[in-house]
Amino acid sequence: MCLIGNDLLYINTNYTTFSRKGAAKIILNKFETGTFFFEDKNSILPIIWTIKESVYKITCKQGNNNAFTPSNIKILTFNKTNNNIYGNVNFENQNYFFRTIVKQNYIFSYATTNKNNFQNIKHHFFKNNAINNKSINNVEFIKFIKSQNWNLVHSENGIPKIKNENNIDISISHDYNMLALSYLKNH
Amino acid sequence: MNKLFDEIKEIIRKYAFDKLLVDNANENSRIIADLRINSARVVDIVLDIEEKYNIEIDDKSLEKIITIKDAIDIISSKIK
Repeated sequence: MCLIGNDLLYINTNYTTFSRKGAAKIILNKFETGTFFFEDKNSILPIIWTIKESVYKITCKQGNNNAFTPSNIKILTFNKTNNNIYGNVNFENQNYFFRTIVKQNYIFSYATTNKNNFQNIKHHFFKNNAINNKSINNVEFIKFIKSQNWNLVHSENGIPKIKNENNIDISISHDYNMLALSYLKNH
Repeated sequence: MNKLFDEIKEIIRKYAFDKLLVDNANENSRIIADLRINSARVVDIVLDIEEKYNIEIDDKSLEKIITIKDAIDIISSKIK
């Protein structure tokens, strides 16, 4: 079964997290710091965060019960073309493949265990008017998953996931007033 | 222990959307799953803890912090 993970980060100009001193040490490992992220670390950190979190979500599905520790997830290749980024990542000797889209208001990354499935991964984006952390209650999103006969549940570590009869792997991410849902479209 | 618990809650509260959830938290509350802290804000929480207690939270410690009690245990072990 191909597993997928996604992560959405709303870009808020007041968001100071990734520009704080010490943030790079939490997010990047020594290899990454010494190679492709040697310069301009702070602007790249939100992107790296979403890549690693999308991979982390897959590892949780594979049985990882540890808290998200981004520096343990190792980016091996990182290619950037305009606002599209792609590459591969290693965690505990397993490879994962990612793609990232950088938009004006958000950064969206998704990862998979099988890079041949990238073209079959479909995404839906939902937007709430309410500005809170409960965009997972988005009416359009709830309607959509009901129309697919999917059930929203939460894993032990709080990651929202969807159960479905066809055993399609689905990933959900929400931040601010946005929610992204990713799944394989050929099922 | 209670002092540490209160101090950590105060740090977490700064980054919580739902302050009431943090006010009602206990030691076993999971920081992300139960208190609904955005995972990216965990970076802020870790940095605040490091600054407040003048400690360094390494990867091995970070991956163990799921609940408030986990954070208390890590801090306690490092400030001894």
